[in-house]
Amino acid sequence: MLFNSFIFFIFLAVVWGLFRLLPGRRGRVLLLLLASYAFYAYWDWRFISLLAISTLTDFLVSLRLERTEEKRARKRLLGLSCLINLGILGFFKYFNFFLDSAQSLLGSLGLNAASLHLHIVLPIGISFYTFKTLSYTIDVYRRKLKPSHSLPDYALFVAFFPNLVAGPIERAGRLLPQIADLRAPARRQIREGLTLITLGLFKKVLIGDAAARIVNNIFGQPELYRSPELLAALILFSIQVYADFAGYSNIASGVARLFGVELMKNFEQPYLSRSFSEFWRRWHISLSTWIWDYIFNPLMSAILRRVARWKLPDVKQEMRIAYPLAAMVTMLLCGLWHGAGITFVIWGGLHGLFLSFERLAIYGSKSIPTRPRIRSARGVWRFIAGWVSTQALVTFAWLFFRAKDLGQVGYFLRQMVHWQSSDLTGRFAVIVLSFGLMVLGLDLLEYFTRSELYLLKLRPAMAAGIGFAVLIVVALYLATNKPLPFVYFQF
Amino acid sequence: MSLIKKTIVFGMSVLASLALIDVYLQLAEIQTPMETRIDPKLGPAYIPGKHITRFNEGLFIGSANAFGYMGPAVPPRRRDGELRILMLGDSFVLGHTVLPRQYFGRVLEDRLGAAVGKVVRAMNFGKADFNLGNMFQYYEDFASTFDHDLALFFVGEGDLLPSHQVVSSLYPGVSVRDGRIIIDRSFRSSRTYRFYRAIEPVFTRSAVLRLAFNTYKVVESGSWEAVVLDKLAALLYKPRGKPGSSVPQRPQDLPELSRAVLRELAKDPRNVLVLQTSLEAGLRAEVAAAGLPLIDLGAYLDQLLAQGQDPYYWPVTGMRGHWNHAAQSLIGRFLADQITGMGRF
Repeated sequence: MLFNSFIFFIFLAVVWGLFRLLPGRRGRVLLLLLASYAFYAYWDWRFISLLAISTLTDFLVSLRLERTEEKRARKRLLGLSCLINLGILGFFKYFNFFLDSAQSLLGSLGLNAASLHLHIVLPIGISFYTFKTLSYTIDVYRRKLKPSHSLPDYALFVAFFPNLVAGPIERAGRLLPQIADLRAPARRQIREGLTLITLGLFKKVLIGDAAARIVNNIFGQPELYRSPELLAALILFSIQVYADFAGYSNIASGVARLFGVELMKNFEQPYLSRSFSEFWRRWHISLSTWIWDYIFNPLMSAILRRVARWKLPDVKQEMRIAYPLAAMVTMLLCGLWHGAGITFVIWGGLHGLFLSFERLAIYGSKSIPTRPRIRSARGVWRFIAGWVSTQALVTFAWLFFRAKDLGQVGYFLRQMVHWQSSDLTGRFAVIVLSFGLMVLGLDLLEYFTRSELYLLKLRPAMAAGIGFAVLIVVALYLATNKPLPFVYFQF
Repeated sequence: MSLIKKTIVFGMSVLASLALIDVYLQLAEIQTPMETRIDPKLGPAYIPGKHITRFNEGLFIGSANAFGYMGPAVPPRRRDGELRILMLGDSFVLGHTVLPRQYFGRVLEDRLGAAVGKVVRAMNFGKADFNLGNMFQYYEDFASTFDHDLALFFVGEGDLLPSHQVVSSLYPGVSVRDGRIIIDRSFRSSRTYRFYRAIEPVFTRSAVLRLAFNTYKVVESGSWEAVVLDKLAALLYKPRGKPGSSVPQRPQDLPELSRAVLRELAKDPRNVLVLQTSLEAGLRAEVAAAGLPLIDLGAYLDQLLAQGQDPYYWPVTGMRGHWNHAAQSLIGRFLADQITGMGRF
């Protein structure tokens, strides 16, 4: 059930109506749990078992962890949780990738391995809920979190339908207390929820989906298109992936708010970033903070401990060794999390490389401010140079993210070098500019008002009028165009 | 704020927002406004220079030319040493599924031009849903005014045995009386015509209204259940069909109108019939009897299909529909070879 489909809003209306009717917290939790499982089963009921296995494993492991004091036993319990969760994820998502990689490696060594490729369907949202459950168990293991003693509460934390299939990857520390105190939403929350849903639908449907129709056609058969069209498709993809995911996150937050639950913000105008560290503070925040907390930081500490033995003259030099290593490993894993394919790994690697270069060559140990303070003409130029170079490299890296394989990347790059003009260059330029300015405009509104609910800063009648107009156009568009799935659903 | 003031602010905000979104939809070519106006002689006719974008099966980004048909603007008066081919047909000929340079007409121009050593202009007079009667009327009233050497009429079985004609209250009607073909323009007195003429200035400028019109068509066609209810529509609604009705029986013989049109076209040696689908033997014999030169494109497409090259399959959207990119190229070459083989030029 896609958020950008009429059937989802029928489902939402029914669930919300029942939610409002139920007086007690327990009933509401059970209703949302049932609705969440129904929501997931709508795609493929067979994968409900995976969701249930992941939920039960971490619920039981965390209770056991609470009662276990012995260090080795606690480690074993954590290992068991990782084994089951990552085992399921590994089998469904990475089995064929590693098998194919091993086969091609053996092939390159002159050894013929029997061709084995299983037809495995990737369960939707598996990467998201696996990370959610893993972080819960790790936090309980680290004694940062007290485990939940209520199975329905915990099961709802894992399966809560607004953020089940594509995040935000909410932490138990934030979501479980809200479930434990699940109330009817306040009027403010309903108003905010509806506003976020409207903004999300605009981004997803009228920017993301609309751009996707061009992007999918061109990336589907790039050999049919010329250099300016390919370049337009790449820029449009960078707009699409952002509008699509940020729109989804807005809708998810809005829907959650209708049930009195507040989800974390997942995007903060990433395309206004002037550096890669800033980009990763603003892009897919729930994932970047997750990998920061559970991969980068532990890895950085481990590397620093080892480097400390070399007795280097100062900490800066130790950092110069540790940061690029930790950043590369983290971003390679981040790429692999996105998809089981070499193009995703390279995408992650490029980001690791850019982050390392930026840290070592440009900023050193200085911190990179979130909001720029421009005080001179030189500052303006520095801002523009930072913004343009960051966005150009981010867009370049998206090529690996979107391309079907390395062959397609190669073809694309060759077309950029051996430029072949097109009579449609002007048309494509206006299209790209229109999409770009719309995204930039929305981001600037959010940036300057410091709120994703900028519509609510207007007079209520005016905000309602704008929202109503947006919903009319979205409904008309959806009535005549098949809704497209969210890009991040495949992860 | 009083209720009246709130209502006014609300209404103004809705209108202003719709106008802004409309501008965005048009500039980003998410939805182009209605590209046709109602011509008193031709019915719906392309507005010169109007941008058109389609995403149904493949990607089409193009525009109607200054003379009101698709493709490069070729004026009515011919230049020396130029060969002109008019192409009339339905949405297959219209080609709103590929970029203009990928259209089979461009391939035909290049290949035939190279074969005969002249500049060839393949002019696209295709219109969606057209049948043989519509094509004849369009040819008589519009296409034939472009000084030409050859006119290709693309027809499938459905065009020869039409079960319907495009909205008759907006198009001139074509009928046959006492063996003569009559073009009836009484549509100009219909209410629908007057209504469309009245809304035309707004509809041809607004993308949002075009979306609304498209939605109306979805509702009218009855496919809204699948749009709204998704998978559940199949469970809740049975497939449509009148009680007791089965597959409609098509006439065994060529209708009088089609026969008359074919006879009329056969009088001009510049006219050629392109069969875009294979015809049943009896029907084909009847068509051949009219005396028009034939190009059997349908047999060629069947051959491609048998070789595992589906000319109707769109790999990106996974749909079957009009001729795909590969087919456009092959059809252009095939037609060029067939025309060369006729020894006309």
